[in-house]
Amino acid sequence: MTRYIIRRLFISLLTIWMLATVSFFLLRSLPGNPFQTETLLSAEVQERMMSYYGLDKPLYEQYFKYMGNLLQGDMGYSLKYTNRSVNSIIAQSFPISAELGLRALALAVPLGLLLGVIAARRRGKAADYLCVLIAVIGISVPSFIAGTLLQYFFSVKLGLFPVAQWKSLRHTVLPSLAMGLSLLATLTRLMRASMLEVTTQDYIKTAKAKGLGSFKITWSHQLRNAMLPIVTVLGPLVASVLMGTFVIEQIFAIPGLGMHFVQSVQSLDYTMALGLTIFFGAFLVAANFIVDIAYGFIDPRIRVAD
Amino acid sequence: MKKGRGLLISFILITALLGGCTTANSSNNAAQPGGEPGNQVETGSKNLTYSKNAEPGSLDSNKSSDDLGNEILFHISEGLVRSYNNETVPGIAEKWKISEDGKTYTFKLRESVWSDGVPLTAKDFEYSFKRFLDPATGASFVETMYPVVNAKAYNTGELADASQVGIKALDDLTLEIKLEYPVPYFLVTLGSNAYFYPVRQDVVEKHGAAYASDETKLVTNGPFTLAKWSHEAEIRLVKNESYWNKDAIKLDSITQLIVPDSNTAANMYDMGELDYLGDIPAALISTYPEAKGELAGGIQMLQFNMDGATPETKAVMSNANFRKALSYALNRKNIAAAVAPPGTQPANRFILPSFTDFVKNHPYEAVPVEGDEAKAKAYLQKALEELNTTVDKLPAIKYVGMEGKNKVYAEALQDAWLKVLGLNNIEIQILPIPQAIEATMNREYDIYIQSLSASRDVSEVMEYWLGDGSVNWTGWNDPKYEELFNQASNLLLPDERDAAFFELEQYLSENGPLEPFMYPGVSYLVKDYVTGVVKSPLGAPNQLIYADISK
Repeated sequence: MTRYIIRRLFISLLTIWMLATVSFFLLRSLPGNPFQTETLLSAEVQERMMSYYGLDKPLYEQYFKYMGNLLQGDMGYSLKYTNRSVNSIIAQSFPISAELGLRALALAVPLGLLLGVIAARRRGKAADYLCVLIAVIGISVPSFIAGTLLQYFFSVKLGLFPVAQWKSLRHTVLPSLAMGLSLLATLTRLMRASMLEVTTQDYIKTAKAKGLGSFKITWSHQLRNAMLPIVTVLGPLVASVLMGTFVIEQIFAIPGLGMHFVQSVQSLDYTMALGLTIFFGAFLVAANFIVDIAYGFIDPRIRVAD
Repeated sequence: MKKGRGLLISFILITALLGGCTTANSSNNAAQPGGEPGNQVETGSKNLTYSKNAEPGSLDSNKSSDDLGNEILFHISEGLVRSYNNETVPGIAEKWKISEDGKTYTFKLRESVWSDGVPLTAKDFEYSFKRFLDPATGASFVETMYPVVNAKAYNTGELADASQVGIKALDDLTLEIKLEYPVPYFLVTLGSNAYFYPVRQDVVEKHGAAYASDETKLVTNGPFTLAKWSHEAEIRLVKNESYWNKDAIKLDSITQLIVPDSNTAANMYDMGELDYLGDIPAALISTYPEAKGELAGGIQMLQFNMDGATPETKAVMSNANFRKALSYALNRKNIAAAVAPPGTQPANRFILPSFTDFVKNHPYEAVPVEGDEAKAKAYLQKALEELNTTVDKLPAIKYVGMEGKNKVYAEALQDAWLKVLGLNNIEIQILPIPQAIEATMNREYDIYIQSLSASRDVSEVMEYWLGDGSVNWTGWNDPKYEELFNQASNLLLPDERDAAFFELEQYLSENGPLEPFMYPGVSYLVKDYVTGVVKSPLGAPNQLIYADISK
């Protein structure tokens, strides 16, 4: 196990390094420069700004400098928010996105799994159709529509919640719902499919033949095996959910990370875009790492195979 | 036994997921109430809440480069003079003297203090202006100060000695600025740009690169102070009790919420969460018939690339009749009414209507706002004869559009050119901001909507198109235009100067690579208990320093 973990750790670091390298060069190959803003700067001033930030040096030189700083945990200063370091921006925005993500997950994971199990157990019955309907709606209604509708009805029409901002518990309800809905739907669908797949397995027939009750079969035989594919997607899913979503954050004016992902690339804020990519990448790699270890606990066969 | 353990593990896994989340939630909830004061302030105090769609890039006044930063700095800082409601009024400078040759400005400062009580002196201004020019600062809009003696040389690194720059504190309350040549609008430049607000040396040096990154890392000298800056969420300004003119300031605080989505902002206004809605998107305007409109202070022009995106289009785009045909084919009035943000007016000349005297004394119509289909067709016919070709044989013409406010025009223009002139060869390419600018800089376009500010002075809109003009990416370089511009710039008597610039305007309209298109506008809504909200093209888009609330 220790050897396995060490090997995985090494692979993870390699992945992050490759991600940083590829992103660095891809980002810099985009046409334009960060100083081309709506308020126009003359070509000479643009050049001078490029050299002020060291962006006129040979690309490989900039790359080594960036990597050197990155090794020390310094991702530089944003080119757009000129007095703020990328580290500080992430430190300020990530907890908010993560909190929103956690709230959405707290809603979506138990409910989604529960609905999935109910749907699978009542396959072809009314309860199944209801769960599937919820899943289809959740998946097919994009979050910007769900978010806008929730905002319109619960804030503007009914006045139950504030329209936007991220300030108190009441402020968080609607965005968490809007974000949780599609997650819930995804999980319901996955859990249902996964449960149904397990139903046809031989060991379920064996369990039935043994005369076990259906609840007992679901609980101790089906559920555990059906969890594997769920855990597989849950790792990356949790990682991406915690990173924030552009749309929900935009609609509800939430100062999270999601907005930065989109804006930094659009405005060619190299340091910011790169810092976010690496941060997200590292987070995703870590999540997958945890999932891999969790496999071992859920399915002893994988542990044995290793 | 084994089965039991498995069950236990899956149970733990699930409860951990649930439990983990709920504990995280409750701890977060606990952290919330203390942390955020919210936008409801104590009763009896006057707070104005409004929203902006993004976070300022920087509150370091020397390095400020966007309207968002300008707007906050406008409220928390004060320069020598201030552009308020389109007029230049005294700021920290009580009075000033301009020498007869128009090249030496002597400012007499009033006694005033920074927000932390330290006296503000002329030395602070000298330091700020020189820091702005210092190449080590990395300020972007330095060219605004190039008229000052040796400013350019110092900024470009040719001159290392800052003491030779024409900015000098003669004593604690006297500042002298020497110009290379007279600039009649120099005071407007000083008053309307955030870069000329003072910064204090000890504070700047203490915080280094992180200067002005939050409320604890700057001192200012304006009517308000920065009380709180929750990034991407809220900026809170409170009245500065040590401001020299504090009795004129009625609001106790201003809260600017960062609300990226304009529909959300409109909903917040409807629900009373905002007192003032500063920018209503075109899509929502029918919801608010009571909205007010105002010109934003710039001009949008059709910009043509005389070099052409390709060798084939070069011949077409450098044909003056072809360009006139494109311009006359447009019914600007209809386009403005159909797709432009409210408040936008169709443009028929380069000089903005806000220069009321100029426009009254020198009436002119470069192109009718309704367009003229017959003339457009005639121009096209002439162009085709000159080019010895037909409409079908014209090469594909590349229209580059920028993501953002000008994007809406692309299809309206394409449609008009097809319907009026039968041109089906206009290819639209919408690009993100940096890529669109890159394309214009590299002359990889034929037609572009250029949007520039033009309200500082009548010369502003014309200076861009000199051969070495700062954004002249049109391939147009006319020595005669340059000569006329220099002649006009050297005139000091206002009447003569206006007449000369009027001549220049006509020359540009007839020969230049540009056609006036729109004067962009903004529309806004204020609750009836709010007074004194000023929209102005100069200084800051929203000027709330003298606003008041009576609820």
